[in-house]
Amino acid sequence: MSKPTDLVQGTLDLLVLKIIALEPMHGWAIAQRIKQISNDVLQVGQGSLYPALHKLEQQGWIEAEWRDSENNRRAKYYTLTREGRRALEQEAARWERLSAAISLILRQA
Amino acid sequence: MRVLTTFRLRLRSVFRSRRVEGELAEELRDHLERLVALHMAAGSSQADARAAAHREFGNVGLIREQCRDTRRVAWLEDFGRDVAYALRSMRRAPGHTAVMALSLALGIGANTATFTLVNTLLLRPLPVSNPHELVELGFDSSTGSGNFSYPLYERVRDQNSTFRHVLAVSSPVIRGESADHPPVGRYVSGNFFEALGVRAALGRLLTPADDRLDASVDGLPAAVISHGLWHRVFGGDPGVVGQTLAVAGPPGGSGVRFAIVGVLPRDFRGADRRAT
Repeated sequence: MSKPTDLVQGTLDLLVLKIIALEPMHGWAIAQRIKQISNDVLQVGQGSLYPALHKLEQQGWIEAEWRDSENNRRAKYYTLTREGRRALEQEAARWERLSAAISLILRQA
Repeated sequence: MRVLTTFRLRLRSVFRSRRVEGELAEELRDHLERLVALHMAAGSSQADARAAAHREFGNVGLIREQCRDTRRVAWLEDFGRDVAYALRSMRRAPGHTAVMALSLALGIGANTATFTLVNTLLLRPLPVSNPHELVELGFDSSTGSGNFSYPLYERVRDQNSTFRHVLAVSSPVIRGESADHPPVGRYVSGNFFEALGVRAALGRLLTPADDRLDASVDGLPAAVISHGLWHRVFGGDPGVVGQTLAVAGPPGGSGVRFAIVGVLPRDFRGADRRAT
């Protein structure tokens, strides 16, 4: 999967959490959203989204529910749980720290 | 919260695995079909669109397996880790562990004992026919004696039109060989065993005829003995019927001798739930 930018595992979790924090979404929509927001720079190896979703569900950070989707079929919609929201805040803060540190090093070195 | 959610999901993936698998397949298929539709909308042939979709999506079988792993392996690993962690903490604090084990043991033991007692005294029905039809009559004990005198019992019995039988049983007043032995026996009315539907294990049980003042067996009042007494004192001797049973009688009274006419069945414990 050497698409434009390969997603680092863990980063994908963060992106998924952030995206469904806005509204419940199914897998396809999450994948499209990641692509769209990042101007196609980030492209989830589409299939690899699902193990991540299932893992997050197992961790209790997201919840799944089958609903009718916009194309009149049933789709599994994922929602952020309260615990997931907390995890998102922590992960986002950590990412900010990490990327700030890396940019700092890159600029100074 | 998280523990509950995870537990529920894991139970589901174990006990409803067909369903979970089906849902996973449906979820992945939906995604693939949308990809195919996207490529076809851009002008590809169906075959090309399908190939492109699979390229973008990745190996469906592999992905399904990875999803499965997040459920299954997570369960096993977590369980293993939890057990290991528990064992480590127990080894680190042996005193604490001992106290824990002891309180668990005591708790379980106490509960078992209580339940056994309650089961014996309250839950197990009396070994008589139709125990649910038994009614105990008594005076309101707050106003004085709760006992009936024998003449009063006779009056109640003779004027009874409500119950099938009216029977009488004394408190356990008959003592063993000497007056300081614990009580071993009760006086009962002659219809007692017949009313309760008890059958003799050996010989016969008492009958209303034994109530008569002039009734006697070899000049002695008739008695039946419990299965336990039969074995403890008479060694289960089948010739016990006709032998004499000498007891200390009521406290303060002189000794009493009875003629043994029969033996009660093994499971008979009296008509009183509270008595043995």
